[in-house]
Order: sequence, then structure tokens, then C-alpha cells
Amino acid sequence: MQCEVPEKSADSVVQTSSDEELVRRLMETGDSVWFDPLVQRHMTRIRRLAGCMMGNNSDVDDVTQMAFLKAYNSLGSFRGNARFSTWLTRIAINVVKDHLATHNRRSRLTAGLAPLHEESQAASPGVAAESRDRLREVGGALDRLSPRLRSAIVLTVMEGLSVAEVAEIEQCATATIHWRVHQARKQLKTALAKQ
Amino acid sequence: MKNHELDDKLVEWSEARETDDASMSELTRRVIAATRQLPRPLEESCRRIRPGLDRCLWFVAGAAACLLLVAALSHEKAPVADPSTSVSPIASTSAPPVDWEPIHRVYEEMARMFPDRVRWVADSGAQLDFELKERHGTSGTPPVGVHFLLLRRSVGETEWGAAWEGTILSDSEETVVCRAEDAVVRKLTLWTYLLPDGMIAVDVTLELHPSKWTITSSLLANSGETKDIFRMKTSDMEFRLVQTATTIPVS
Repeated sequence: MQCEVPEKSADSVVQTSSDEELVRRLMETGDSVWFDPLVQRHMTRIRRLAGCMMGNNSDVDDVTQMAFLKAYNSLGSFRGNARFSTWLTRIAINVVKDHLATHNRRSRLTAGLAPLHEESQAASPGVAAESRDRLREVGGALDRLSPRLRSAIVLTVMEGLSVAEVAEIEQCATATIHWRVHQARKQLKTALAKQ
Repeated sequence: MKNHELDDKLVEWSEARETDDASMSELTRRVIAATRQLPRPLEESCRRIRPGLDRCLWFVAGAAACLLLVAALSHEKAPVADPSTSVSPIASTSAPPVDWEPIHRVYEEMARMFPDRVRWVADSGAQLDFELKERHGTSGTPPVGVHFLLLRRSVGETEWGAAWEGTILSDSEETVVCRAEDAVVRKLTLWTYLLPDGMIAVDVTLELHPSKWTITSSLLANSGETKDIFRMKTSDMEFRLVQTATTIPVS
């Protein structure tokens, strides 16, 4: 198999190529090396997105990997109608939702609380218990949202995407996303007010 | 709590969950190594229809199915009275029981023609609407049925009359947006969510003709429960909106 990546210029080609260009080259050459920069560029965002959607840290890494592998296998269906980042986010969200659907609520809830506690203690032992408790309450409230409401609030508020972008990812009308964000905020406020 | 205060908390929570650089590098290395083991991704079959064309075909198929359904049902349904000129008598003490069978039949017929693709079906007597999903998928929960009955009476009268009614059967968490072409309701927006304990969250906004009144309600209800969700009195008329929500098993 011929590889189109010359030794010396590969880095510069990779640095200057758009996501869509990298996909095109991969599909032309069949060389998975063109996928590496896509993983590197989007790993932090997709890992963070999966982390916000889920609780269990070990599962988050597995699901993140699953999302990238599913994207790789599906590259033939990427038409460039949407940006690669949008297309990848859509795949990641669907992988997370499928994963959540196969795990019962109890395991998500308990798994979602523990790692945050451990991380907080390990990363900054001086963090006040009050702050840790507050963050744990937020995590608990988020965990009680349905996956659709959760993805709407995660993508808009935590990832900072526009409602139009989220609508494209979720493949629904912008009004639907407005509605879901409104619902999510309402349920979160109610949950946090009770705690 | 204001929206921006909530958003700040969510962002703080999100940032507290971020993993360290070493873990991220290790995960990146793991994913790249895994892609090396995969076969070359293949172009999709040329038999696949482009998304834009796919949507177009679904629209045509959906419209045809809608026409067929309306035609099939029209001879079975009672004539629809013009709500602006006619008022059916309703007992003042309670609303009549909801007959879910007609909308259930439409839903099942749609589900038979478009397996796993029906988002919702709505029937307001004069108009039948539905929406299909672009990709197959089931919510894993039974559809939620919601019936709305708008009642009105002149001030001083004792009997309520039905001014408008609508029935919607929807997957949990779908957002239903219907633009009605009748004299009473201009637009209906509905969102339902089936809670794990079996209760049903129902959020509805009804925009009415011709006064441009908007009725908004957000309630939790037990399956089968009927509630008055809105009451209003003007100088000469009184209005009530009655809501019944239920889960409907689908065969």
C-alpha cells in the first residue's frame, strides 16, 4: 500500500490541513496515519464532553475511545455537509447515550459522585469541603437529567456551542434545543434548591 | 437562582472534572494505537441515498401516508363542529373520559409504515399532524398520550362547552410543535417526559386565536390523571383547559 505522507513534510502538511482535508487524504490513501491529528485535535474536547455526560471516569475513557473508533469506521459516510467537529460530536453524543441506556441509573449515580470526590482531594487537598459538596450536588442534579436534556445543557453551557450548532449535532430544530435547555435549567434549579 | 449563576456552577463542575495532561496523552496514544488495528474505512455504498434526498423522500412518503390516514379516518370520525360558532355541552363537574383508541390506531399504523421512526402524532379533530425521525431509534419507553380540552362558557352560565380539543401521542422527551389551522388554537408546543417512577412531566404552551393569548403549563401527573391546568375569566367569558396524560402500551 502506498503511503502519501512524506517523512519530512508530514508535520507541516498535518499542521496546515483542515480536518476535512485530513479525512479526504485518509479516504484516498487508506492510511490511518491521517487520522492521528484528528484524534490529537479533538481528544480534549470529546473526552471532556463524555466526562460531562457521564460519571464513571474509567467508562469515560472507554467511551471516548469508542467514539473515535466509531468515527474512524464511519468516515466513508462523512460527506462534508457538516464540519468534521460537528459530525464527530454527534457520534460521541450518540455513543454516550447508547452507553448510558445500557447501564442502570443506580450505577451511574454512584459512579458519578465518587470520582469527583477523589479528584478534588487528589488535585487540591486544600479545597474547602463546602466547595466539594457544592460540586457534588451539581453532579447529582445533572445525573438526574435525561440524556437529551443533559446533552443540551452540556453542549450549550459547558462546551459553549451555539443553539444552531447543537441543533445540527442533535439533528433537530433550534426550537427543540431552546426548549431542552430551558427544561434542563428548570430541573437543575429545582434540584439544587432542594439540596 | 438566575441562569448565569446556574451556568457558572455548571462550568465550575465541568472544569473540576478535567483530567490531567498525562492521562490525556495516554488516552490519545491508546486511541491511535487502536485505529491502527482497524481495517481501512470504506466509502458508503453507492446505493445509499444522499441525506438531502432521503429527507425529501421521507417528506413525500410522510405526506402521502398522512393523506391516506386522514382519508381512512375521516369517514369514521364524528363531524367536527366549528369551535368558533358551536359549543358542545360538557358537564360542569368533570370532563368526559378520553377515548385514546383513534389516536392510538393512527400511531400504530404510522409505526407499522415507518418502524422506529415516529416521533409523535397529533389530532385536533380538523387536522392530523405527525413527525418522523431522521434515523431509527426507540426511546425504550411507551409513548405518552396527552389530551387537552379547552372549555368555555358565558359568564353566568352553568354548563361548560368544548371549544377545542387535541390529542397527542408522542415518544417521551420529543418536542411536539403543531401549527393548527383552526379558529381557536394557533400553535401548540408540547414536551413530555416519562419519569422512572411512572409519573409524567408535561410542559405545554398553547397560543390561541384570535386574542394571541398564550397558556403555559408545566406539571407532573400520574398516568391517567386529569387536571385543570388553566382557568381564566374575562368580562363576558370563562375558560378552562383540562389536561389528561397517560402512558399507552403499544403492541
